[in-house]
Amino acid sequence: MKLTPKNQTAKQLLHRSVGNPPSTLPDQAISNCFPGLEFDFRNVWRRIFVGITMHEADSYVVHVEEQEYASLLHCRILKVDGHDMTTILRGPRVANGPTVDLATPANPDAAWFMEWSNSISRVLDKAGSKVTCVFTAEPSPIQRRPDWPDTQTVELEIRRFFEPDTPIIARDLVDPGDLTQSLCSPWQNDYRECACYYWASSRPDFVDVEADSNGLSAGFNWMDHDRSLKTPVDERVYLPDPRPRTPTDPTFITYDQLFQEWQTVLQFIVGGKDQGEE
Amino acid sequence: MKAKALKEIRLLPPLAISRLGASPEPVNNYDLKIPEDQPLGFRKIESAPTLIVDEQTGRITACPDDLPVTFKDEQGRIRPVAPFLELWGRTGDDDKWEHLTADDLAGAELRWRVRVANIKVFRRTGDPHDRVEADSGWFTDHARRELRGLCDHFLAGKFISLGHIQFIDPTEEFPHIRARFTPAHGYVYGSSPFVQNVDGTYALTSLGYLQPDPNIHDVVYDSAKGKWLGYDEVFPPNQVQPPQATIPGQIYAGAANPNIAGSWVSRGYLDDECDGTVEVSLTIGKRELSTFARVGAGPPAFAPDSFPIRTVYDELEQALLGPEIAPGDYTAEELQQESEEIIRRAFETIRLMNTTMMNGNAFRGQLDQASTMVRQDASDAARAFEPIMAPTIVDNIAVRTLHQNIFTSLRSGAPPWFMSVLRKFDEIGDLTDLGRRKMPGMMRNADGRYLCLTRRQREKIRMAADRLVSPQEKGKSK
Amino acid sequence: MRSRQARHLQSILRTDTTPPAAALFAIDKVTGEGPPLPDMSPEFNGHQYAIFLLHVDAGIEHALMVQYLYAAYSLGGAHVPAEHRETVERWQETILGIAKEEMGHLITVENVLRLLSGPLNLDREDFPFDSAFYPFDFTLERLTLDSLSKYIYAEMPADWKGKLAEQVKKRAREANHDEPLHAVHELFDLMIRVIGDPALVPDEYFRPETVSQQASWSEWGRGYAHGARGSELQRDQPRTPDLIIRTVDSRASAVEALRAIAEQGEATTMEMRQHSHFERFLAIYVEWSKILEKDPRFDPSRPVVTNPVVEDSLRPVREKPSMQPDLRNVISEPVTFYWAHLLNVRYRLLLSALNHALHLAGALETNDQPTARGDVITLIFSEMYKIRSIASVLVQLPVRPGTPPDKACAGPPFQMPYTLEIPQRESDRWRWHRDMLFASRGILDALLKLEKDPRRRGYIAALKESDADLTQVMNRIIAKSEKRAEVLA
Repeated sequence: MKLTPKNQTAKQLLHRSVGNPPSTLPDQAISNCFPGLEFDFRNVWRRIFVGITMHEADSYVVHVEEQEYASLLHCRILKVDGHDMTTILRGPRVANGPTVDLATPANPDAAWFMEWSNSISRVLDKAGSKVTCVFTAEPSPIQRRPDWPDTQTVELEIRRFFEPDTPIIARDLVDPGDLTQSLCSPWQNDYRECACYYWASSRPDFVDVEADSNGLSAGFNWMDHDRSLKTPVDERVYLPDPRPRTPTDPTFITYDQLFQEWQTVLQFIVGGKDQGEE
Repeated sequence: MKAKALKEIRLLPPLAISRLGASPEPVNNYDLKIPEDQPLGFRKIESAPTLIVDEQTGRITACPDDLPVTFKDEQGRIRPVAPFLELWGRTGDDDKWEHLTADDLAGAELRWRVRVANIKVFRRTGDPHDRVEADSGWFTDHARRELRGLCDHFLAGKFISLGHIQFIDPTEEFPHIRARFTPAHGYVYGSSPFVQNVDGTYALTSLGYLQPDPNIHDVVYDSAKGKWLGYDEVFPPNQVQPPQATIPGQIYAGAANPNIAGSWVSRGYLDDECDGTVEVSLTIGKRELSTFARVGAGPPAFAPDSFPIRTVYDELEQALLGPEIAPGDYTAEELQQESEEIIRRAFETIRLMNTTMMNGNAFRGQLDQASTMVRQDASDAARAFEPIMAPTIVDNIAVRTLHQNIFTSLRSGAPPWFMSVLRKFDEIGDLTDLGRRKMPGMMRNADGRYLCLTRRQREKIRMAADRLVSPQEKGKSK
Repeated sequence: MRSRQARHLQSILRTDTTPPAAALFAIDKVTGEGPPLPDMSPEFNGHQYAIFLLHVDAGIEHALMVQYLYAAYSLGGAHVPAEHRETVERWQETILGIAKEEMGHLITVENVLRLLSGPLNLDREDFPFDSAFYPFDFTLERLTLDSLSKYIYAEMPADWKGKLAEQVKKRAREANHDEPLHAVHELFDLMIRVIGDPALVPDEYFRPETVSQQASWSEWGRGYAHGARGSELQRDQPRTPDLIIRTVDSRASAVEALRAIAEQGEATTMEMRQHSHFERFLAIYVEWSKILEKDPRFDPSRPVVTNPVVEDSLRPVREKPSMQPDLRNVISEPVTFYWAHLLNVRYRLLLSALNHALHLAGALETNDQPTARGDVITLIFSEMYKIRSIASVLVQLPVRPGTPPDKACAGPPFQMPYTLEIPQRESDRWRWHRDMLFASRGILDALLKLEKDPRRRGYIAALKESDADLTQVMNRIIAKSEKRAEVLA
């Protein structure tokens, strides 16, 4: 990477202090796939506009700090600096059917908010100055399509993301506790049955995997009580986590076990199997 | 270097992640190395220099580099990951940073302060008295300080330990300035010693006694003062969800009240995760330099030899350097390596993920047996329920092999050719067959739809692809 | 060998000095009426004739694909001036895209063969060339205006006229040694006519139950479809057409699939015109000609030799490496020798896996589980990636010791295997594939001894590991069938 001061600054983000294992660095922390485990990193965006607080994962104005923006409370943000913040869900209603707008009773506009991180990255270089933002004219508990006609336009200042010339997330962007606030309480409650089966580094899902005699993968659910490498490959079955919340299903490590003895029941997976197991 | 000449100080890393565990011995340091003859294999864990800290004195006593790397101790407790934060300084106008030593700071006064918090309950109830906050206050000594999380709604004298901070005492052998943040043990705290039903009554044992709650380490929350126990985030079916709620919502320990459709009643649990700041202030005569770093405490990396596809670093890099890449920012070789790394992370993720299940294939003849994007599409967008890819081609080994082959191709120096199947951030609304089959596949994004790379990650691959014609000759870009 | 086919086509495809074939066969509607059929061999009935024509077409699609790939890989190199690099990149993407579409055509034609209960055909023409009915003489050669003209000719619609048309046709004829060329549409018109006619191919020959054995877009398309291909470099252009992989279950769908393929080639309708192979090739021709007006020395291709071949053992070769279309070039540089053999083995593995996949029953769209076919399809895609990588290595390597690659370089030889048949028993098919991995391992070991370039060494290591993993999976499958055999015995 070209040696500019900014690039040097970026490199400091991955500085390995003497004695620090790789898992202390932000490149082994989940960010945007879902709320994440180390942080719900989406919380960095709540205060990206000076004077109002946004929902960390939505177009919704949750709080207004400055009176001049009072009319924005509970409204939806539609555009920032000319860029759409929402898109339209489109797809087939029935298999092989035509592609239609996927409106539902709860979302009659079929509108969907696009994640902050990629959307807002377009204007972060305008930090400290004001950009034109378009909101719905009225408070709206539901999403609105980008071309929603009834709008209000305000100039909002983009807050600085980093302390000047540093890689430190700015003090007034994030308070202590903000980055973890929207994670599960307790976090163990997120270890089963969520759509979280793919957090490879933090939470493995499909373990003890080998090719079976059909050439297909056979292995176990990480949460399966009875999994063992001694089970012949052809007899290994991955059981999906039950759909309804059944905390006492004996097949899996239960919630109660996770709360009480997660350190004992959860195994570290190294090389695709329990650490130390051959 | 003398303190007087210092222009700026900085704590590194600027964002350090610690990981919970009750063992008194933190994880020994390790490196992750990809063996040269097994470029497709797992990253190998190898011992790396580990700083041994005497907690009583705050001094480093040794730095062995051959300790075994295990993630649990002999009693079966998880070893926490406890990062060091190093104090670096710069004297010139150039970007030359040095790790400061006690000698460098001779004659100056160095102070530390840590503020961390866990405001998960506040995020739900909206009551500022539900914030759990710890503040070490300014300190200069080397004692190990507990970060006691206090809360207005806690019972008198109760707190949640959110971890420890210790300013390491520099010695002749280990003269550098650093502090260590050790996270909490990973306990669950509660609001009642006895299990409550969703209607507020107490659960009874078969003998009619109150049923003790075995899940909690301690009762800290006063349910007479605060509303957390019994808090109900109601998501009425087929209606608009409360827009203030977290996305996804109802993510706390609880149970449904059968009399209220879409209810989820809190059991009043709290944990000891946190995030916050470590500040330093350096007084040199009349001048004061200050800086801070951020720390967080999360669960362990249970598959420590794998990396996620899109990480906090990728977010930070994009926020710092922008979604676009300027010409000449990277050499062609660097772009190729960045592309390889993204594909490597893809198959590292696939390796631990049941792709057949996540694709929405039937399990033992039954559809919709797991929480998948297929279910998501059907439930919140009323899209047709159907597997994402053809069910016949999504076996884990097949998908992993395919990605490993893409990686192998990149290794030959062949530029990436798969740009057109990488989902763009503004294509997340496309739930057609083709749209859902874009990459990364089957996974969920911050917006609740299919995962995208950061725009900067995607741009790196695009620029690597741009070398299409002349691999050796250019690192140019558009 | 091609004469076996050619003898049945002599009456159809004479030379292009005869009245245009389109005039003979152009049929607006499939009614069974229209002009009389050209002389069908007395050895055929209608069904056999349909199968025969599909076989011929499969060979053509396969041959076009390989030649287009070769031409695309030849593009680039340090000599391309900086201001034209993006243009040349775009051309490469375009031609690779067309090659992929030819693969789609090939697979769809196999589906039609399956529907009509005919044997499949993965064979194609090879060099030296000995047949008169292919669009042009099969030649693996770098992209030049001459070779490009031949591709345009092959894909052109019947009614293409004008100054540019004359120029390109003339150039194509000259490039083909003044031998007659043929446009692919001639064959398609005939196929559609024959298959569409119930009098020639009665209903009983159409077997809709074969759909589960056919290749489907959802298994083979891999998200590669409208608007996607090349969209990064061609952002300003409107969408490019779909990758056509159609399953067929009736006469109507078979005819419709063949029409779609024909249209993708030659653009029979106005709305398709912009995206047809013909138009895309022609756009390159026009753009190239314009650059030449300003820069007469412009050459977008590397000095890739024509028709490279490797023999079983290395021997000194005296002839100079050549880019003349009617020659072949024996590779005699030792490192290149092994890379070229590696490509041939992987190409053979690709073809045998393709054959295998098309013989395995698949599954219906939903509610089904991964099958061995999924594994084989993955194998096919993996081998395509490998061929791509190996080809891009080969175009940077010398053909002869002592001749630097910027004077004459190698290319992917794509030499056809001695047989395309695969064994009958399922486990033996896996053994067959595994044999090629074993052969490959020997070549990779030799390369590890010879190759100095660190990136390529890294690639060889990765390929070895990937093959070892794959061998392990194959071993499991083979072991299972052996156990079964024991039980039966």
